[in-house]
Amino acid sequence: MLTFPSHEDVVFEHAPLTSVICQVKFPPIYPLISASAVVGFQESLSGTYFAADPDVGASTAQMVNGKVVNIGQTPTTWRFIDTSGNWIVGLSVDFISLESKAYTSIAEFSQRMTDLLTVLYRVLRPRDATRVGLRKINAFEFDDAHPSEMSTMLRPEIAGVLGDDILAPALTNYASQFELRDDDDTALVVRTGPIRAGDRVSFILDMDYATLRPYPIDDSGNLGEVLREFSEGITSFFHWALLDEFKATLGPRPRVEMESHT
Amino acid sequence: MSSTSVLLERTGPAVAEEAPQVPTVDDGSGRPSRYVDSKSQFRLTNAPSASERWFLLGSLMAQLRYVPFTDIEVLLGVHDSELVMMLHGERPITRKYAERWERVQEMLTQLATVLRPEGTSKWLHVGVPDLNGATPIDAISRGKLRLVLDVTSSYLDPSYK
Repeated sequence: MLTFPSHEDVVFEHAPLTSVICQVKFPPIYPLISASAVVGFQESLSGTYFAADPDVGASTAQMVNGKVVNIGQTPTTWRFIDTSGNWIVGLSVDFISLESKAYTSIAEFSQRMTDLLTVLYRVLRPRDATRVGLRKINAFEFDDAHPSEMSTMLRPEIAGVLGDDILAPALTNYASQFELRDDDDTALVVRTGPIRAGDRVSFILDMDYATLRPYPIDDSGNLGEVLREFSEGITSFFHWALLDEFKATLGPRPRVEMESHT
Repeated sequence: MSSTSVLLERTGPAVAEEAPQVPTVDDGSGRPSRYVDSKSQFRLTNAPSASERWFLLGSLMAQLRYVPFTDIEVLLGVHDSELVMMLHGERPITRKYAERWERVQEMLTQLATVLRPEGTSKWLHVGVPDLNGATPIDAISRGKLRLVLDVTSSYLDPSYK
């Protein structure tokens, strides 16, 4: 486990977290290309998640002996959404994913993922995971006219050239990516950079903790523990990356205090 | 630095990154068709029933999600390792299995009128007078699925309480 300075266990009232995603990859189960093979999984989710429009894979075709042959097809991702629309499940031939737009705690997130993995295990029996990843994406809005203000929000190692008074105003494109190795199979990948959406500009802090260790996909709940460890690593890095003065503006409240209000 | 970099991929639900290659062909007939590579030559086959069998198997697995795999082996009449291969498309689901599974499906549908899915596992191991005191799972393991079906059919009788 990567170690960063200790931090208080707080919940931010104005958290910049926009999305949390877990993806567990496994050796391909090719019948999942077909909707008929998804029915068992879908039936087992009913009451919690409901079928949504699938993300139909792209395909490429070429002429072979005068006939159109589809030579490369990205498999469909079958999607299921809860009634709030904040929790999205993805299932494809070689992965299952869970995305939350309303993340509150890793306890709830890992429980939901554990429940999904139990259903997957019961109805499709995937072989050991080939990759397990947890990703938290944060977006910090900033004034496009004064990009170097990022230097007051994030550590200089994270703000990069965007925090530089001389370079930032002339910057037209910037993205950074680095990998912090945990062990031979596990690493935290951090991707940063500004993105523009209409008139708003945000600085993205995208933290992706993943392992290639072949964890069994079963009903033991072991992967839930892995996710909790990854989450703690990501949160620790997040606390390290933000400057204390800026962190205070996000409204940190002790987790216990916040949970007693809910 | 390890040569295997986690950087090569990113955690995300967008699309499968190891896209399997499934060659398909439009032969102009309007029928579903599939190319199968055989002895270096493309061969055209039609296999619409495979989808129906996966549908059946998937539905059964969902209904049996609270039942131990050892009992599923008995119910479906297939060894667990073979079942996994069928689920993964590594072994065909033959007509013999499909016919048996349709009867199991019928049994589970009838059972569902009186029992929640969580109760199936326990029901399988309770002695039934109409089976001379044998449990449904024992009867099925002795090839008497038809008798067990008669029992679950009786649950549909309005006089059944």
